[in-house]
Amino acid sequence: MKLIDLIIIGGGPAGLAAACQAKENGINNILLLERENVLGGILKQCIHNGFGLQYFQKELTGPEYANEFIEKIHKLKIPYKVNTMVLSIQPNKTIITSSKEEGYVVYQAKSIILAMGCRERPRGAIRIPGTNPSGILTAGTAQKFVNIDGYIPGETCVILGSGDIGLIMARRLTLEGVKVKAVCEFQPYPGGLSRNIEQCLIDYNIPLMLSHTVVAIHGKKRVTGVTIAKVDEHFNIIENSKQEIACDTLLLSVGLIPENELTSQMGIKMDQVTSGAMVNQTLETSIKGVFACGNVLHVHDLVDYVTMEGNRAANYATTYLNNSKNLMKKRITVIADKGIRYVMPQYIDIGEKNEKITIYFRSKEIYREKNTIVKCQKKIISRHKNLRLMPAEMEKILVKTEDISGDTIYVGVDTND
Amino acid sequence: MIRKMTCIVCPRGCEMDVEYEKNTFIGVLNNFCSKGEEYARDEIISPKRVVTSTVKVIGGDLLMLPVKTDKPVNKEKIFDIIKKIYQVKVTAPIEINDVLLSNIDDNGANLVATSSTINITK
Repeated sequence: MKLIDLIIIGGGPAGLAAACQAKENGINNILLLERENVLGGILKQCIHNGFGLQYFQKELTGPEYANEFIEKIHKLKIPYKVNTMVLSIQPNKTIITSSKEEGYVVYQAKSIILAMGCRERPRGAIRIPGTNPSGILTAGTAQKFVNIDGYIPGETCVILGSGDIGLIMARRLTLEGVKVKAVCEFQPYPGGLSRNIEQCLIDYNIPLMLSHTVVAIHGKKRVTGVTIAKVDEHFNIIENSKQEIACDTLLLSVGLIPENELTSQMGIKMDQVTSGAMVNQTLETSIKGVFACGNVLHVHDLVDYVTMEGNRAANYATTYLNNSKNLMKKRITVIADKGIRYVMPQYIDIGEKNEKITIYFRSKEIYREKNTIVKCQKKIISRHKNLRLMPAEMEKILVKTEDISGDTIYVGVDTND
Repeated sequence: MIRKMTCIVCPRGCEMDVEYEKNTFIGVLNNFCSKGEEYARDEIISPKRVVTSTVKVIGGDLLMLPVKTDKPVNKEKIFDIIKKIYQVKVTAPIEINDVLLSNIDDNGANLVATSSTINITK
């Protein structure tokens, strides 16, 4: 069994950033594990621009963004293995892997960074009635077909869900000659970033149908059409609003799920809302020395934020490996209160030193000109004015540990003002 | 006239109020940074976008090579540019940033590779 100080699972943007940062922090005995044949993760198929404005202060495409880190991995001589699948992780940080080249290999890690990313919700997760013909794909699968393999998935298309990948694919397919007839969104507001509504739909006159969903899929061998309908404010289908749209392809962009089978199998406590691990402010899970970052922890809006979280995870793993931890005195639970869907971190561990802690959160619905507040024992300890709060956009608020009393703090939208 | 505009320069997506008269830009409100003003001015005078796509590769470890225009191009020219991109076929190896087609928009923008690909036939 090989003993490794830090094993990073996943060679996408989170894992790449974590590996580079850990190496720069002086951790030399690192191993990065990736199941695909190359590093870069999902960035390889995200050929559009708009990445890197926050992190690199320049606009890059997905492959360019990945390249910045892959070059660095080579320059820093960080060991990595591709085509290597992690089969399981034990609570004592034993990692069992399998690869064609080396077969069954077992590693013992001192610390682990989980960076496995996320996957798309499939048709089964949203239970659309109808037949089961070919031509129903997730937006990301269609993206891989078009951008990596060079295939066009169909000629006429309806997209269900207005997540960013769905919006990007609406534009991409249009440029490749596919007629995108509509993007339907169940919610009364779009799921993706405003800029993508603008540059992917409005630029190409693709209709965005809010409060609409697909209620049936037609076709035996191949999709021949879908029936869409309007939903009311309680998400009930309005019967007389049904209309059929002829198409041969249905793309689904209905959300992402952190890929956490390894995490939950090793007994780490999970958050039911984020579908990621529950962590403290050092991104440490319920197992000491195991950290999580990027989309495996919670789904991010931007790869730039994933990179930043990867860097943070590496810094905390370095602190752990160097035994220079701020000793924990008390654990505080962070609760998503009024109007807030989830918070991250879910815990704050108060140590001997005072800290400023950033709490990330998403709202449940759209709010304008509202304050986000953090309360403990009915006292407001932090307040942040938001011009616009949207479920599609992650927000943050700062708290100081010295302001916290009691053992629970609540993050909520102040709906009184 | 005043038009609502969502800035696409960064993910912040500022909802700006842009004042204009026909093709003349007058001013902008509710933009967080100066890039918003630049975008709004362009959007009124002549809207521009970076075009990204893929081209076929011969002999590479990639089947399709991702490409982009190295500058934003006029929005009306996007489909002409896509047609030109369809015609491009490259032979590996290609380095990231290699120019594959110069002056693709007749206005100084080049088509460049956004990834490298090695030759696997040698």
